Amino acid sequence: MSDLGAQYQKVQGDLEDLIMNRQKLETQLQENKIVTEEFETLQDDTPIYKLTGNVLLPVEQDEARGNVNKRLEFINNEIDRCEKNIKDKQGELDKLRGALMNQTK
Amino acid sequence: MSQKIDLTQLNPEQLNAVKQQFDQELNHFTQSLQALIVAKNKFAECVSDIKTVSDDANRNQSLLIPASSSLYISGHIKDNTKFMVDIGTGYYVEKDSKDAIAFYEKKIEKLNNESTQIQNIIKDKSQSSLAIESQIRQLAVQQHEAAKKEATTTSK
Repeated sequence: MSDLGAQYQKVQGDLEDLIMNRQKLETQLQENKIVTEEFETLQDDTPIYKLTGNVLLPVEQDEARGNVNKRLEFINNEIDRCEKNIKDKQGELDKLRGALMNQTK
Repeated sequence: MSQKIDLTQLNPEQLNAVKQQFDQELNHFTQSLQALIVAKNKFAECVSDIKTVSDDANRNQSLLIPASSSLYISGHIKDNTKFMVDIGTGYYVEKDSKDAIAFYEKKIEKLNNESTQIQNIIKDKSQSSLAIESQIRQLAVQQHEAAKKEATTTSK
C-alpha cells in the first residue's frame, strides 16, 4: 500500500513539474509571438538591436526575424513534447489511482 | 467553470475541498491582476518619460547616466526624437517618439482589456466562493440542529 502510495505521489509531483514547464513555455511562446508581430510593423530600414549581456548589438532585420521564427518553431516543438509527456503522466496517474482504489477496497 | 455543480448535493468535506480550490484560483487571479497593474503602470511611466524627453525644451538637455546604482556619468541627449524600445526577448528597436508612444499605448490598452477580463473572472469566482461558504454554514446549522433534536429525544 505505502509503496503504491509513494509511487502515486511521485508521479503526481512529476506531473506538477511538467505542467509548470508547460506554463513557462507558454509564456515564452507569447513573448516571441509579440516580437514577431512587432517585427511585421517595422519599416525596412528600422534598425534592430539585440541585447547580449549588457550591450546592444545591431542585427540585420532578416537575421532577427529568422532567429525569432526559429525560436517559435523550437518552442512549439517543446510544447508538443511537453503535452505528450503530460498526457502520458496523466495516464500513469489514472492507472495508479485505480490500483490504489482496488487495494483499499 | 462551465460545469455546474449542485452545491446541495455535496457533503461538508467536499464543500470544503471545493471552497479551497476556489480560494486558490481566486488568489491566483488576484495575483495576476496585481501583476498586470504593475506592468501597466510601468508602460504608462514609459509614455510620460518619452513625452518629457522628446519635448522641444529638452533638446540637448544634459543628464546623468547611471552606470551602476552608485556611479553616474554626465552626458547630454544627442537626439531626443529617437528611442530604443524593448519589444521582448532581448530585441530592441529604434522608434521615433510618436511610434514609441503608440507602441506603449497599445500595450496599455491590451493590458486594460485583460484586466477587465480578469476582474470579471474574480467577480464570478468570489461570488461562487461566497455561495459555497453559505452552503457550508447552512449545512453546519442543519447538523447542529439535528444533533440537538437527537439529544432532546434521547433525554426524554
